Amino acid sequence: MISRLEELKSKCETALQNADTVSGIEDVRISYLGKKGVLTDILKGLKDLSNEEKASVGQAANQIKTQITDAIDAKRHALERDEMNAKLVSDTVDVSAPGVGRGSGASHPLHRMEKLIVECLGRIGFSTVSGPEIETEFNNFEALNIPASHPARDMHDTFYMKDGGVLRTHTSPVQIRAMQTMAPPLRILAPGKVFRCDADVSHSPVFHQIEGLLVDKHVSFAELKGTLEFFLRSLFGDSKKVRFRPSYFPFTVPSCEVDLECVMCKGKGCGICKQTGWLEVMGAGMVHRNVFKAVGYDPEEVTGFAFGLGVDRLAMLYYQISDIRLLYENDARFISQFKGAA
Amino acid sequence: MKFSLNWIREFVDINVPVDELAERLTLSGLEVEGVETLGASLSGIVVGRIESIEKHPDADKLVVCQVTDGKTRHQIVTGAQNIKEGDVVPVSLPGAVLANGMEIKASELRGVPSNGMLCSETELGVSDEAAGIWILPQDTPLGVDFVEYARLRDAVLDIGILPNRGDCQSVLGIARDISAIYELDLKEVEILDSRSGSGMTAGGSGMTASEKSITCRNEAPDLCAMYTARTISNVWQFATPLWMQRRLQVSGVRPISFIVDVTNYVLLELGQPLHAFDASKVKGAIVVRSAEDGEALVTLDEQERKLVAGQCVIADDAGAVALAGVMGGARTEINDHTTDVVLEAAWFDPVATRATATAHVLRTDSAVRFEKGLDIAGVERASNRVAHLIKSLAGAEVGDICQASGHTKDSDASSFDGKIDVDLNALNRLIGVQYTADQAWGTLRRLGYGVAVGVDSRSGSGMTAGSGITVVGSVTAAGSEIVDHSSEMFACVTVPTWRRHDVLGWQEVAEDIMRVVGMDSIASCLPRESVVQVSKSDDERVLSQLHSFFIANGFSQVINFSMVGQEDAVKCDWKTTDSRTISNPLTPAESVMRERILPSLLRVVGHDASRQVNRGAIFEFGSVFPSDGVQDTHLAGVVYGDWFESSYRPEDKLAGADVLRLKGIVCAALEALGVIQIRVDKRCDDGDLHPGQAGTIASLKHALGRFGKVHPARLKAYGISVPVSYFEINVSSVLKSVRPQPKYKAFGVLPHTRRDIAIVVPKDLAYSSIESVLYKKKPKLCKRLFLFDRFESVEHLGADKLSLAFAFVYQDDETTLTDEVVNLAHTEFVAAITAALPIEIR
Ligand SMILES: [Zn+2]
Repeated sequence: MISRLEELKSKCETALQNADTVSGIEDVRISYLGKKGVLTDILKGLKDLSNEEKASVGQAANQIKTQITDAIDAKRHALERDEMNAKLVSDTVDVSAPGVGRGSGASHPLHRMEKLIVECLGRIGFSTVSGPEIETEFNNFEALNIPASHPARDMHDTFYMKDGGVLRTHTSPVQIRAMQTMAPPLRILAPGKVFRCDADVSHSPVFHQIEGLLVDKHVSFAELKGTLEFFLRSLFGDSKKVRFRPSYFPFTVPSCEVDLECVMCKGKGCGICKQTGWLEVMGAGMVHRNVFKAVGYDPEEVTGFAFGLGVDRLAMLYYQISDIRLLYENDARFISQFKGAA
Repeated sequence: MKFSLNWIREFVDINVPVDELAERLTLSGLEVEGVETLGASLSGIVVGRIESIEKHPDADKLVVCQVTDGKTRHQIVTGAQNIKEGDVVPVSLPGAVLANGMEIKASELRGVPSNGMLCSETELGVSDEAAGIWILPQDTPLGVDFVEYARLRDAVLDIGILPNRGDCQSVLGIARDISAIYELDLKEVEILDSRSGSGMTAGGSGMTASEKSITCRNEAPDLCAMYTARTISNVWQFATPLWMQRRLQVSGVRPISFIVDVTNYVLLELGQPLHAFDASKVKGAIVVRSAEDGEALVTLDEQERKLVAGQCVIADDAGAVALAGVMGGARTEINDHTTDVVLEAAWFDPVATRATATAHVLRTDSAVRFEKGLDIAGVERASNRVAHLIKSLAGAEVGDICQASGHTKDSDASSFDGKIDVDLNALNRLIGVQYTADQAWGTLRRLGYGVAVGVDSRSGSGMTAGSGITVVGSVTAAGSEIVDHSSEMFACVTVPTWRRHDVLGWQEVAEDIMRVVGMDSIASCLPRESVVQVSKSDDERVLSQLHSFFIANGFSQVINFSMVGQEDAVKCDWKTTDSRTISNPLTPAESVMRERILPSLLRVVGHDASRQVNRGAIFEFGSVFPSDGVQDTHLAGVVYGDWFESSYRPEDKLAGADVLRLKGIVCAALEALGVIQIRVDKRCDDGDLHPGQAGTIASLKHALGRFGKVHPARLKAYGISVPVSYFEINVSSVLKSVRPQPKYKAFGVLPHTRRDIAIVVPKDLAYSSIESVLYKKKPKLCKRLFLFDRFESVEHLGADKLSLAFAFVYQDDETTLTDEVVNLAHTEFVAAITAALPIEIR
């Protein structure tokens, strides 16, 4: 009986060796271990044996069953692996070929610059507000201490609408609207398009400004200075020199202009800075009492500072763009250069 | 404006290097835009007289001159044409250095020794071009150092004057600021003491005092706060001294004739515009009055001006002789034969002068100065300065001044007596510094302020500390602190007359101190108060996400002007209204505010196409201006050319599917923001879009925008030959549609059952209307439904039908569904939609 089992085992091993497909293996399994399989028959016949024989033959038969089962499984796994490998070989893709899709777009440099500025000042608590591009003369001028007869209106070459509206010449009217609707303290930025009816090689009739306003009790010029130094050095580098010069704006007093050490020549003097070593980048000052009065704030109670800058000019310096017209031509070959996160 | 440093030095002893001075002035608000040094290298130039001129023996074009410097005779060979014997000329002797640095040496010219050179203005650095040798006035002393005599060595500062600093449009004004910055004394100019004569008068009328005097009357006191006139006689054709010519030249003013030169000189020096009439042409008394409507005046530029009431004129018995403060009249113009002049010095209203100048398009130097506001107290001094110069230089007779005053109507200035209370502690808080009383008050005094320390404007005197009877004080902005007006930190300052149009509050006084002391010394700090956030930062985040979505999907951002051309309005078929049309456009192509972004984008596509860029995807965030509504922000984008199909793999080239691909991107963008229940409808009734490939997008409550293929007529109008798909959505409506914040809901975990159906529908039935019926009729147990196949076949379905296959997913949260339950629900559902729609089940 035992020898029959051994014979059976070697027969099965031979059959397995000859089987070279998964289904061939299955046939072997069925002929030995299936319901009517040879080994199954032997195991069924055990009940007719004596108790003694039952024990020894039963043990041997079970042992052989386990061995055969393991051999079948091993062979099947090997075959499955071979089949998968064969399939992988036939199923290759040249991944070095171009990816399918249209890639990433690019952000306009003015948008990128504006975002950098807003993020930088956002870190010290400034948040953005917006307002309309067609404004009233009151918001654009009168409320900013620029009455109709004021010579400063000449500095703002204004586009007028046929019904008397004006295209805002700066984003300051957004600050007027903010102060009219919100009580102090305020810490806001007003980015947006502004319009001046003069244009030449270096001026565009439409450009972008960001103006900032901080109103609180006891705000000082020293804080204005600190804020703008922080801002310019964050953008252009900690070692950059920043200089403040007295200036005049109708809506601030005292007023100043802010010069940044030339980013091209590092202050040595070049064509960009007209050999001065300095770039005039911002105007600023302490909010004029008349502006506070125009929006219903009490100048005895609050003080504040305001500042403004041209995003176009800053973007041109930052990205070294030589011609302002490139900014508004939207040429695909220009815009596509501005990809990436910074 | 250009300022001669030599001239400035007549008022203030400033001896720092010019570059250092320029830097300091720039940092105190007088921006030096350029420094030109003149004659720095000049030396050894003397004045000589040509005694004889003889022909050169061997050269036709040269002559041999004998020149004396008063002591020695020099032989000089020259090729100059414009000289004659007796001419007085500048001579550079051997060893002399010219403006260009060239050193003169004794030499021979064609065999004749030449010991020097006769000089032109160019060689002495006076002008860029010269017709010949510089012929000097006959009375120029021989032998003097000509560089010193004619003040050829100088530095010219080109200073940008701020609009509020009319007082700095003069040498005196610049010198005054320098005196304050460097703590130097400011010298007075020499003037004729008008008070030594008789005939001073004030008020609305004048009177004659001496024989050759003039009477003036002010009938327009609102337009002219101060008018003065005086006669200056026996000014024979006197030549303007070289030094004066030179100063005019370096200041950018061309010397013309003595009288004009002197008035220009005083204008540059003191900032007061002056006008001289030919006295022989003035008929009777001078009257300052408003013009009559239709009155005519021929101005110095030979233009006849039609005047209107309200414009101020100077008139005599025969009519207007000048447009006040703007330009003189031709009838009384002085010329070479003039011997007597009437000199006018006046203060005209800035606003009225500006209006008149603007109306006649005559922004003369004089008008611009009046506009900026002049020192009313300087009017008479300027007249006296002119009188002094003419009298001392030319020996003319100067008549008494006749004065006719009016009043200033400037609302701020009229009620303003120049007195301002300054609390130095408050001032220090505003700037963030610790100026001492000495520093602050001293600076102000040097700028011309009167400073009464420990005094306020109401009482005239402060409380003495500790007297305890009356408290003269005020409460500060902080609301808690009593300010002691008798302290050395408090003063009543009197603004100098030349600053009263500008300095109206203590903040301006603070600015004056700060700019003179310097902004560098202010220690900067970040804002001290706590941070406040006031904005809708959610909106910002949402917009930023929208932006990133399109970038990530391959779209590039463009930024266009908010205005387009009238032509674009016509091309895109919208009506322009006055409120959206610019009355003074620079170009017709930028003259109306865009109603939508589409035309801007089509312009970009046209631009790209003309540069061989034939495919792409762009988007823009920007303002739009509907003719009948408020301005708003839109997001619009276009895909043009075969951008969607641009793949090298045949299986990716699904031509014709681009509108739906664009829709897919736009809807995904909205979904990414949290806009729920996006609804797209097939109809879109406007001429911008292909009538068969256009749709509207909406959220549950708001219309969001539209999309589709751009109408071929529009593309043709913009010269675009590739197909363009487009979307435009209203950003504020999108923001309103954003779900505030997702909330978790338990989802079913029990097994679901799927049932599919295919329906045959008419082709002209919009998918959206089928879908909306499906959603309306779907039983509760149906959790989800979706389209998984769409099929057209003329053979099987006919030309006007198509087949849609939907999957319905049934699931219950509580129990595992049995087939019976699902079948019942599904059958009812199918019956309901079949009844509601013109469809057949396949
Ligand atoms: Zn530079």
